[in-house]
Amino acid sequence: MISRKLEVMIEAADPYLIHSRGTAITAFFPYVVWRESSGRYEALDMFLCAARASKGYRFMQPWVEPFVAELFNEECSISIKRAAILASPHMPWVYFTYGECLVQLWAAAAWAIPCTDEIGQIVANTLLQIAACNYLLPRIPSGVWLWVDKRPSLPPDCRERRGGSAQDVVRTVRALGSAGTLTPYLLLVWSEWDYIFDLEETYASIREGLGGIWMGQHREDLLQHLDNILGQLDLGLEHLQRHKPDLEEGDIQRMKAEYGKIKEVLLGVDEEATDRLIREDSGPAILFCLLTPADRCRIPLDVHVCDPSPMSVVAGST
Amino acid sequence: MVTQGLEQLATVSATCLLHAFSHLLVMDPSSGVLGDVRRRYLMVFDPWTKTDSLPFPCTLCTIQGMFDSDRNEQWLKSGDHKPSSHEHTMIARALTELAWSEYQQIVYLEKKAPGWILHFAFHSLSMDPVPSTSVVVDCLSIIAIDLGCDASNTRTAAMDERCTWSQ
Repeated sequence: MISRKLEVMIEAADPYLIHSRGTAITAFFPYVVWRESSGRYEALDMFLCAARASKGYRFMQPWVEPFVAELFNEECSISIKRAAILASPHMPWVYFTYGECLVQLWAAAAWAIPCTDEIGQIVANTLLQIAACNYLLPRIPSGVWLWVDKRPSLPPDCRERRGGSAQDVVRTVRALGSAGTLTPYLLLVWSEWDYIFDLEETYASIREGLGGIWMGQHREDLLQHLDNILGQLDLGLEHLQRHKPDLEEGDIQRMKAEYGKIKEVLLGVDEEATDRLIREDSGPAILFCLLTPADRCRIPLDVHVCDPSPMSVVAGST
Repeated sequence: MVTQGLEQLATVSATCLLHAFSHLLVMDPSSGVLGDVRRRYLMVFDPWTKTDSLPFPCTLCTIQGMFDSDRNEQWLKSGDHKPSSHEHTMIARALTELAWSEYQQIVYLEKKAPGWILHFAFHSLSMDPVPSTSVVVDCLSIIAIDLGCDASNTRTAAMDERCTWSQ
């Protein structure tokens, strides 16, 4: 009866209808987990479909907190942790009383379960949602940001993408000091579906985090991504609205201008880095830059370290 | 306060009180008697009345919840109390009836089961170990009521639900 009713509500695709029943569907969650733990997956699938169909930010009620904390606990089975991780984007993180502790538990649980494309997307989505909460952002274990290295993709209609590109978040990722994390993070939040929350911070990140002479590959990845975004935006409103109906012409024009400007900044930084590389007359360094990433890996680490100064940078910054 | 030696009688009395109130709320929500009892009850028991030391704190908290919406999630939020199996069964039954009654009484606004009763369903279903079948069925009934399941007897429907997903 409940499953049939939920099916009908999901098929109706009326976000308001499902959102208005969020309390009842939240109350159903422990039963779903219980079914999941005994190997019955259909209830969880239905719960997640309903949560997604609601398109609601913080779909679940804050009183799930103690229960959710138990699910993330390391003693729980992988299937239960997986169920909790899958539901995590629908949790009201900002309203949790012990959100700081829960973030740690969530992070540990996320690493404990096998990674799939779906899990990667869910974790990235939740990570951005948590990061958008000012008081939770500093509590995110730095290791969790490595999830973005898996290059997950976010769906077109994803509110977290914009919140996750806010000034504090970009600054936090930049402060990790790894271009290997900053680049996939930017690839995640830059999208034809959303404009950038804080442009100035984005420029600063490009200049300070990706301006190194050894970061050509990162800049190349980002430029390629920007070209792709601008290409998608050129296809026009009708094409984009097929995936995100609430987009308007004004959004597209704004995004074109923003991503175009970001591309300019990135090209400028790339040019400066190339000039610097040539000026420094670093023969081995230029040769190193011309190598493919696969070839670079074959060079023993002691060669990087023993070579003169430009090469010694390689070991630390790539 | 419960007189020493009369704990068992007090427990039965509290259960009877819960049933009487819930039936009255269901059968005649505008009853003058109910209004009078509610007024007297709230005069005697202030919001900070401690029920922890009683052998039936959850029953008493549920009665309080029926009378005063500000107190209805107290024991659910604290999570300190775990009702006995019998107490839990009685509370779940009473709240299912109340949820159905309140849902039906809403005429002009969107029909909903009371949020605190849905919270009770969540709290009960999240218990470890899982409560008795009767409680699970009642909790699913409460959820089914809020979802607007088209059934004159949601309890039977919830039982079917449980059976369907237990196969």
